[in-house]
Amino acid sequence: MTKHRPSPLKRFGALVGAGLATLLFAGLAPSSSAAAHKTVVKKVAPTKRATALRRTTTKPNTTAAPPTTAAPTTAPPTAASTTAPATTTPPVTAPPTTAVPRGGVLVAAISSDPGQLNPAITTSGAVHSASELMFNGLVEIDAKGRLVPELAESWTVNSGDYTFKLRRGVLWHDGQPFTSDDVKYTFEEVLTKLHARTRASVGDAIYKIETPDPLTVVFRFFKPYSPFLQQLNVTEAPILPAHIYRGTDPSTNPANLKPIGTGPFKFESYRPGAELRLTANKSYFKPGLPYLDGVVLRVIPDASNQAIALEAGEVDFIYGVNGPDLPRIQANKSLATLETLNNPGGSNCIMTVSFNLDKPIFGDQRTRQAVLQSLDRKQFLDRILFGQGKVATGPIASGIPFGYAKDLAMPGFDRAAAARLLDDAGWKRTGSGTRTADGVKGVADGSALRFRFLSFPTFAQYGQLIKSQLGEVGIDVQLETLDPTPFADRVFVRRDFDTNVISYCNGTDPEIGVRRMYDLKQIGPIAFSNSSAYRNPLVSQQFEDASTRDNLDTRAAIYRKIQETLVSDLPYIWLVETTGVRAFRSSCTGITDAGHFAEAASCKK
Amino acid sequence: MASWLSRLARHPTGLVGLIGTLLVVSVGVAAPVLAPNKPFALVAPPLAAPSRAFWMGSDALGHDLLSQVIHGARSSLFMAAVVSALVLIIGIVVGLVAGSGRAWLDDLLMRVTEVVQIIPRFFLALLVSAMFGAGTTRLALLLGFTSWPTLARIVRAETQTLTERDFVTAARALGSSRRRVLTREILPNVVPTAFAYLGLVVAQALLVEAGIGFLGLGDPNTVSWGQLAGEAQRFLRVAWWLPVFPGACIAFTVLSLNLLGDALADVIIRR
Amino acid sequence: MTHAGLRFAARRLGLAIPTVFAVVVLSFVLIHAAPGDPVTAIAGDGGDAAYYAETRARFGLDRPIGRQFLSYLGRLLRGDLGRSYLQGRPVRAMIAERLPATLLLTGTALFLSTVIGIALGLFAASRHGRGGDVFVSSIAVLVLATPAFWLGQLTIIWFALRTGWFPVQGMTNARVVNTGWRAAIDVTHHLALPVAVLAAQEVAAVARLLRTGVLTELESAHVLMARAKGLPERRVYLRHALRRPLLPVLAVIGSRLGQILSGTVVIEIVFGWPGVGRLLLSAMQNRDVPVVLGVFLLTATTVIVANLLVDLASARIDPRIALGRNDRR
Repeated sequence: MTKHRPSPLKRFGALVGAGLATLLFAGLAPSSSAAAHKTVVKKVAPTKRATALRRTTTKPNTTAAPPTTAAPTTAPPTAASTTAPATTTPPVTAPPTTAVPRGGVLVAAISSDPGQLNPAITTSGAVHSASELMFNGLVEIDAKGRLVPELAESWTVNSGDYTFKLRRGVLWHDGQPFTSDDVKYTFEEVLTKLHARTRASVGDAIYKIETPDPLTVVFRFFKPYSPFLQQLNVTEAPILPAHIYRGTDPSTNPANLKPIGTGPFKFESYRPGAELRLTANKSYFKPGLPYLDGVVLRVIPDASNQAIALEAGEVDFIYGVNGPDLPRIQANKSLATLETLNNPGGSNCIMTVSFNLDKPIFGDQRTRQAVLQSLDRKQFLDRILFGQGKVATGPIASGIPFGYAKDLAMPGFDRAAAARLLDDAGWKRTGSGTRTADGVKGVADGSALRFRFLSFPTFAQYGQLIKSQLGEVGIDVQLETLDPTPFADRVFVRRDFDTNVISYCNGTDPEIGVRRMYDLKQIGPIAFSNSSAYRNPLVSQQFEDASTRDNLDTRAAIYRKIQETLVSDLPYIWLVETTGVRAFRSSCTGITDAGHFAEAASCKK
Repeated sequence: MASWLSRLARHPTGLVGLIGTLLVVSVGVAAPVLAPNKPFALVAPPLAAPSRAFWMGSDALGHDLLSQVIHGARSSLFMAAVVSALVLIIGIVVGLVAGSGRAWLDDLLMRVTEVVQIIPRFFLALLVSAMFGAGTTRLALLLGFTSWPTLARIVRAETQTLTERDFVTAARALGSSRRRVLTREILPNVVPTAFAYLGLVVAQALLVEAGIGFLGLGDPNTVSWGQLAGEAQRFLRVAWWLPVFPGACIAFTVLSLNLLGDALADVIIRR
Repeated sequence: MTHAGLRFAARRLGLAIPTVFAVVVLSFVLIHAAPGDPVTAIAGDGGDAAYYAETRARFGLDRPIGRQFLSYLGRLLRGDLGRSYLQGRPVRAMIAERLPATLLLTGTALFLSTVIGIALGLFAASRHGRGGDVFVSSIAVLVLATPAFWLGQLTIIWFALRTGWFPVQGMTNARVVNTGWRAAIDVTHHLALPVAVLAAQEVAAVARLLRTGVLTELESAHVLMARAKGLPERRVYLRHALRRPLLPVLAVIGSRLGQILSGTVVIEIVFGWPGVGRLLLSAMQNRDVPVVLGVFLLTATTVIVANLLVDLASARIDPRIALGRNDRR
């Protein structure tokens, strides 16, 4: 029976990774709410990027990590294989020893209205950023990518079966006890039916769920399914109360507007388009938490005005800072910032230009390399991102330590070299005009070196910079902007495009967000998969090979080989790795960039 | 016609409006010659303040704002011309016919006017830009074909009022045909109102374009004032020159058109 | 109201119904002609073929367009605007919970702009060619030529951030939950800046329109007569020169309402105002067709009703409009 199932792993990689790609965009789009986008590994941010806590620009507060993340854990690293039996009993979270100010209400800005507040029935970034504080998953993933117990106290993996011991004494916000039945119900009736990503990945792989007792859940799979533990956080698999939802249509249950969860904060009130008010859950299962009396999530659609509201003291926390505003925010002594390497909308995102390889003008590698060498990618970092990120050095983001390859031989910015390559490829130029074909395979002689460039409206600046830079070497770029929904239709369904830019988020493992871009089986109608239509059986085979290996060094070696092929084939151009900046009042500490960003936050009066 | 012009030339604010309008038109026409750089060339350091080298400074990507503004005059002019022409023609014809024609014709035209009018124009522009892709021509046609109802209603109302007036009654009593009354007596009286309204329509068209740019849905292949102004919103506190110069151009154009319109009203009607 | 007035009103009312129908058809066709699949937005980044098929069936998207239209129309007649694809909630409820905020904003802006616009227009006309006129007219044109989002942003920076006189964002204070008259004051405080910006352009438009009308009217025989009779200037303006120019001002109220409603999209985004405009914008981006249609319909119906009222009011001011039409039959 197992053989006949499609490999869930691959699909997971494709679908989830794709999600990562889009979340960022959705969040950046004016008042996005774009249905769609949520992440695999982490969480919340409605707008910009976040997760791994890489650098703090202001001193004491952010370094005081919240108890959950500070606690060392013996949980396996995310990339570790799960095929071998492994038992994990990470330490129970303990309250910090130092006195932490209690009380107060944190006002946070979110950029889109959630509409409804049930995170299990949707992948919408707007819904998740608003509702995750009220819910929990079985397992959480901390800022360093480690698995941390949440509703599950410990877990065992044995030949493809996952057994979770649930935490004792957890109560729903209405006082009912949380049991294994809630987990079984949520997976069977909600997540694998209505949560698009979990449905498409876990839903296909799962064989059955057993509940031998109220505090034990066993997931059985058709065949070993390694990414499972990373899909159990509040973003991918929030657990709903069965006693509220059973027997109803979960997509229209009135509780979606007055949610009952297990999370650190309880629902108080919601005014659509305006604000969502939450109060502290006094009987939260993590002792001592939360410190705050409540959290108010205000919908502020305009990014510059989020910054102004923060400066004026109307809000205490914003998810992202506009590039031009960043220096001012950083100079403000009463504000702190937290730069995050990984995007919640997908961690480890790389702004990537795709070539539609089905088009004859991109058939010659020299043309693609000429485009790469015509681009001064540092300008993208400086002028569009205002330094929030770094120039990409290869196909796999630097945030995946074992996948990242140093010193790849990727050709650098060199206009003269680009011009020579184009000449060699048959694109001749007279004067300062647009180049025309003279002996280019598959292209009529005399036709101009002109192509269309498609982007989301929020990424229009990338197009402008590319148009300007490529104009220098005689390439004419026609820009086009489209909202995410029609964009996906044009690129992945109809394949009616020449080049585009997509924020491909790699996730925490190349299986999640890298493989989908190069695997020849992932060309086709799935959104944010292999956009260039790169067909290299060897590379596809190598990815397959890497996915079955347990040993990280072995995988790293394979990924290095893959990347060497890719930087020489250049099916894509990897422009810049992007990061995000969270900003908040410097009197607040313990704020993280994860889904439960305010779980351990506390603010001095 | 010639006498209007000579009277206009002696009208102080009218002359200013005329000169201003002509100035904008000539900048637009001569843009490739006037602009020191191509609009998309990266010639300046990013976000440079106005200086001797770059009179209006530069944007975040390093484009010379002066060159962009000069080239922007073209698409803004094009937009203004298309929208004005469509609005004037459709609005005056529909208004006159409805205001003076048979009752059933009036009802029919007013129904059509109402349907066009109640479709929210900015929403429509947004919808079209977002779903079919951004484009200056598309936007200009869309605005032209949807902006006339207000003018039509004004013209109709004026026509109705005028129809009852002494001189029209007199003209009809003297045996003038209905058409003659329309073209000779009513039309000249309606034109000033129409022109006064035109400044508003052009201003609105440029502002709709700006709003679309603000929401990130502008045509990325052309430079226009509205779009420059819209995209500059993010930089309002960082680089004052980005919003100010394109904005000043919009204001200048609209102001000139308005002064011209007012003056035309003076010289044509209150002769 | 006179007999003729009543008949006029009834006829206008009867004509409004086909107008509403035309709007429904137009918007439905327009929105369905646009490319982009709503299911892509619902499915998000994931979703397999079966999910797409199920979702289509759930919202009846698998049926022919004609059938979809008929069932939409059927539900519309029962006052049902359908359910949002994205949120699964009734569109009517989604609009209803946002409507008060939008009505408050647009209603206040419409009222203030009409009153202030008429006053300024009259003032400018009475100072024709002099300092006051030039000042009012120039400011009006400048305001008309300024994008609303800048005006909004500037007021936020000056009157909220720098001076702290007004709040930056939203409709209520986030830190204190007020009730009763305190809530009313709180909302008014938040309303001030967005209303000022939204009304500013309309004030300018009304003032200009009225000024032109009054200037024309001042030349007319009956005003000259009134002046010749030696009536005080104030009376000449208010009783004689103002009456007829009010007609065109009234005539455009309907379209101004449409304009103001459209204008709220940008204002609501800039000021974080929780109204219908933002709902529409996000629904458009996600191809949430029932919501887009619902808001279009609401806007259209509002404008139709406003036009109806305007026509009736015009007929009262100048009864010949109602009578005249009938006479000419």
